[in-house]
Amino acid sequence: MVSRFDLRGTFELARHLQPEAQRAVIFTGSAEFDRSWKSFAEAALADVSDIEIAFVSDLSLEGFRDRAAALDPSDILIGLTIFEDADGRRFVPADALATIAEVSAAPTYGVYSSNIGRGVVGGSFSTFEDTGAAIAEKALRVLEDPSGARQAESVPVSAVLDWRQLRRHDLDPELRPPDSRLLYYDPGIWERYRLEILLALAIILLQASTIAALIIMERRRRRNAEELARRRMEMARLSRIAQLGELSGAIAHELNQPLTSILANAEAGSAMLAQPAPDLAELEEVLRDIAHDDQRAADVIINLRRLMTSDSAGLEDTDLNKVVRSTVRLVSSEILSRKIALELKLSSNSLMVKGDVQQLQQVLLNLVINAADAMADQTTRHMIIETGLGPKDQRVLSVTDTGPGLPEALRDNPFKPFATSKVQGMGLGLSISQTIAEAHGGSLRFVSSTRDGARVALSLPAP
Amino acid sequence: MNTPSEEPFVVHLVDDDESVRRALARLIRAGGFDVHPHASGESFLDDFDPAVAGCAILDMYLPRLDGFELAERVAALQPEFPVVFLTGRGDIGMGVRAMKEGAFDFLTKPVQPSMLLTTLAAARALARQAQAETHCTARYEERLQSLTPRETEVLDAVVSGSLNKEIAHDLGLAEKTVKVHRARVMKKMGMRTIAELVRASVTRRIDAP
Repeated sequence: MVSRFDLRGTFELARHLQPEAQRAVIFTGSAEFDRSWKSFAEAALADVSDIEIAFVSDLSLEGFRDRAAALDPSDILIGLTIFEDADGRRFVPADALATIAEVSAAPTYGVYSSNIGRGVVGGSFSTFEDTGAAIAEKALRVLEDPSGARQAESVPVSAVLDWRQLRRHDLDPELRPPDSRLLYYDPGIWERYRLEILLALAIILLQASTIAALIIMERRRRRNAEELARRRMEMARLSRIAQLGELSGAIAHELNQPLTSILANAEAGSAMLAQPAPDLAELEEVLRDIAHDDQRAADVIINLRRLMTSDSAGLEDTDLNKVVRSTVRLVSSEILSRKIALELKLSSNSLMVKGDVQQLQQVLLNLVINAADAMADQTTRHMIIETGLGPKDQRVLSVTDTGPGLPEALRDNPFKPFATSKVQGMGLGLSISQTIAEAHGGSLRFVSSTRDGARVALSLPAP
Repeated sequence: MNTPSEEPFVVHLVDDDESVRRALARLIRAGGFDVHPHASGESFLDDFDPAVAGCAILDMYLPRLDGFELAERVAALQPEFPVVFLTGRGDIGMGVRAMKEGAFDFLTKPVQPSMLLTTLAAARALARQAQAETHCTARYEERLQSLTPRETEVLDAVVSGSLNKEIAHDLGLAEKTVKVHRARVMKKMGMRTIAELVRASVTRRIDAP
């Protein structure tokens, strides 16, 4: 059996893979055999005219390596045999070509099957497998017809490619001839586990989109919740302002009282000064009273502004009794003008809660006005505002009136928005107050409601 | 603050707000009035003497007895007693009602000191006038009482325009005697001319002392 080298086939293979190549460079060594290879090659490629054929020989191995490294990546490098280099060093040709291919910038091709797997892109030759197959075939033939046993036969050649080197030189495996064989083909994880990867990717994608959807929904929900909270706050503020509007007379009174005092004191003071011997002690008292009344007016304004602004101070340590006093001060003349006897039963100690003063004032304002409205047609008008400790250390603020109790229509759920017994009223007061109570971790409920009166209690947790 | 020759004039100030009460009392006192401050309507009524001239400044909103109710109680005791309403949240309706119910004035807080004092001065002037009125009538009655029955007859005849001769004839007296009676009437009644005497007996008052 004769193994064959197929320089022409190798050359064609290279052309197939590198159709754009402008030059084919052929390396041969300096040994006798190498030289003969060169002349054989020159003859084999003599008819090639469309690309430049360059023969390189008589270099040291390092020289070959340097030359190979300097090649253009589009060049074709075909290594023939290098048994001996210009320095006279001897090599196994496959080893020599392997060292050259290792550094070559251009794809390197070999003509021996021993080159394959050692840095060359490929070549056209009979492989050992081909040879084995051919021998086996011949053996079978000889067994059938022993006459042809001595006849020499050549093993067929085929193009063999190293997939790794194709990758290295960025050559397209699709360009290889159809009958060529691709060795060292490593399909990579993708091709090997395509189904699994696709499945896993699908699952990941599904999960990711589910998570993304959940995140988006959560974010939307949160945005909605924020929007809702914002609207509720705005609603609370508008309701508060409406309530203050109803109380404008009482509030004007609260401001007019200190203004009256200040004006009267100032006038009295100047009259005293006009006297021949002014009573300085009394004058000092006048000035002190003026300052005191000024502060009183300022307090009313601060109180009012706190109720009217939209930005709340947030939850802070607050004395519930202080909230009651400042709120009562605001409505006292309203209570008086409605001929209601107001009784304050505040706990002797301060009653601390974590609360928003503005909102707590609003709740109390609402409860007081409701109680006052409820008693409008009664002959006995008595209101009790009480603070104290409830079960579980709860802080309880209650408003009791002697009105007719909850009307039938509101008995089931007095806190329902837009449910009202008043002719002029939105029915939002209690609903907003309950929202505020819940935002404080507390509750607002009717403790009792009989024909003799109602009692509403705001319970807040201990701070 | 009343000079000895003047009748007392008491300003009752009723306001439940302590600082307002103090300041207004101070102002009123500095304005030359005798002021009695009260925190409630009840304490005012306790202190109120219908016989003493004065006026009341009532805050509209008072616990229990409000301004209107208080004014009613005062009117029951002394119909002519001037009442000034003072309110921190007055509206037109309330002002109209106050005036209809006979309020002397209706002022809103914060009240201008000059306006309050002017109102008080007007109330005092009115009271003085009423007092003067009472004095003149009393003076007339007093002097009338000092006349003898005969002198009273002569007075009536003179005022009705009869001549001395006619009076003498009507009363069966000598004309000379009539003249004596007439002179005595003029003296007792403190009159210089017949015209004065006629006016005094028609108005039943004597203005000058």
